[in-house]
Amino acid sequence: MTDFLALVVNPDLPFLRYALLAGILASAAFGVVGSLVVVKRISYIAGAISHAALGGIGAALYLQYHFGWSFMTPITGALLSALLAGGIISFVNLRFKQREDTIIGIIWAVGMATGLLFLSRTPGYTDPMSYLFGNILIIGQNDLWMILILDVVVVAAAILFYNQFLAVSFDENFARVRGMRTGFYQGLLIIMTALTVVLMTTLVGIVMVIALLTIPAAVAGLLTRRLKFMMLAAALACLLFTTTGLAVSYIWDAPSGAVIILVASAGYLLVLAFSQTQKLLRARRRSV
Amino acid sequence: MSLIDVNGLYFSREALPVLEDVNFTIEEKQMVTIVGPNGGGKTTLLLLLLGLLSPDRGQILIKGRRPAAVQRLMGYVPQYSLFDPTFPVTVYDVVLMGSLRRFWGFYTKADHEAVDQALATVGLCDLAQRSFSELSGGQRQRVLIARALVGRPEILLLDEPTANVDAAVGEHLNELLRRLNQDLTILLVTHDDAFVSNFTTRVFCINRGFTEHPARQLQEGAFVDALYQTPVAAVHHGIHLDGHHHAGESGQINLRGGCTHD
Repeated sequence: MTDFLALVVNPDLPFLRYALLAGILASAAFGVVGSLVVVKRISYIAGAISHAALGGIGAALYLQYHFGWSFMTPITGALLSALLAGGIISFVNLRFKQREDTIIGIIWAVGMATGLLFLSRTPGYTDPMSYLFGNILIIGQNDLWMILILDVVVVAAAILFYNQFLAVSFDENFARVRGMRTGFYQGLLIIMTALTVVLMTTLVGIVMVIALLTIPAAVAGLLTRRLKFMMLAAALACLLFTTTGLAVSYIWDAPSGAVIILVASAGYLLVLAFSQTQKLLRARRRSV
Repeated sequence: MSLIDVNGLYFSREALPVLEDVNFTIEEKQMVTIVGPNGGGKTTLLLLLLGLLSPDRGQILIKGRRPAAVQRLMGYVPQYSLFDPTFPVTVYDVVLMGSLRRFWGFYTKADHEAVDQALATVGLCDLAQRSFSELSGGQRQRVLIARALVGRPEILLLDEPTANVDAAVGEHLNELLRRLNQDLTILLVTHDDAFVSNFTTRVFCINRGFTEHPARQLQEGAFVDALYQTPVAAVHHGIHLDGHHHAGESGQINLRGGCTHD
């Protein structure tokens, strides 16, 4: 553990520090958006968006290699394709609700397919595994800035529209009778989900990012009974899981993404067991 | 001009007719019960009146305007059983949603005062900070009524308020609605004829088509049996709520005041 701390502050080895900072910064957005995704039960939409991000990552690397577009970093590509996927899903959600699951499935697969195709046409060191399962070595300083900016945008939107999100998620019809444009909030949430998902793809990869979005929120849901507290608790849980996961992955020399997800899942099981025991005890006390 | 004027209304879903040639008018402060078999179009009619669906043909006018233009006049009380039981929200937060009107931002002090008043009206001040999912069915129904009242509606539209609540709780809701009916027009969808027969002023039967029955006829049970094509146990409860205490279900009903905070 002291080795780990020494490494974090070692000026010659920035990657671990960057990974920790990325986890800490992104936790705020993950707590906020993850809670909304969980209460609205749209984690399958978040899944499609994150997998579509591979398309953008592949395209960005391809453009960098063949056309020298150095500004087109993988995270920028991921961001653009996630937003595109989010935009398409919002549109479908609004207009062709009955086809939604089919189209989400298609976007999910097409994103992966185009990503792999681009990567196969980009010679060099790129290993698709890095993007699928995360690799803290690919986080750069610019990525941190991007994470910070996205974080501020997502959290600000969540605060400004908190009451509207709460009402629309709880009872869409009632919100419509109150004159709310529920489609706008649904779309906004999907866009926020797209932004958030991209924040952590470098850390845990696009396959597992959904787990990191939903597990902390699920943990928080067991412990709180108001959405705003759920968001706060989810952010803290996410922070705890990524930090602990990174430390354990360093100590065991294991892939960071996998360890973070397993730590989070273990945390969820612990909290679930705790809350179920409490419920049982309370029921027994009442019956005595 | 009537408060609500429905003229030659047709509505279908995926080419299947749901409502055909529905015509009626409703005057202010009437209490209308909409009955009919499941799938007969009761809830669809409610959604059309709320402006959440648009008719295929015919028109609905509320105070001479389309429903979508006068949604602010309407207090919608959906079925409580449709809600996600794990949703993290308190009673107070749910009622506050009734003041929602802005595109973004926060509630005002007046909105919060309206919540206290609405909670007092339905007798749930004590439970304000409880989780919505912890409450009993009857209590949840009253929370949803309070939420509708916060928006100061002129018409209250309720969808199956007594579904899955026991008779005693139903009577309690009945009493609450009767009081609210002094100021509001009430439209209520139900398949539970026993619940409303005591004070309803009009009974609409929706089974694709529309028929109006005198309220008294409902009590005789004959038409209900004909409607469901099987004898229906229509139990008539006398209303004597004073001194009629159901643990956890009755609260102090206070029409004018607000919640008192210690």
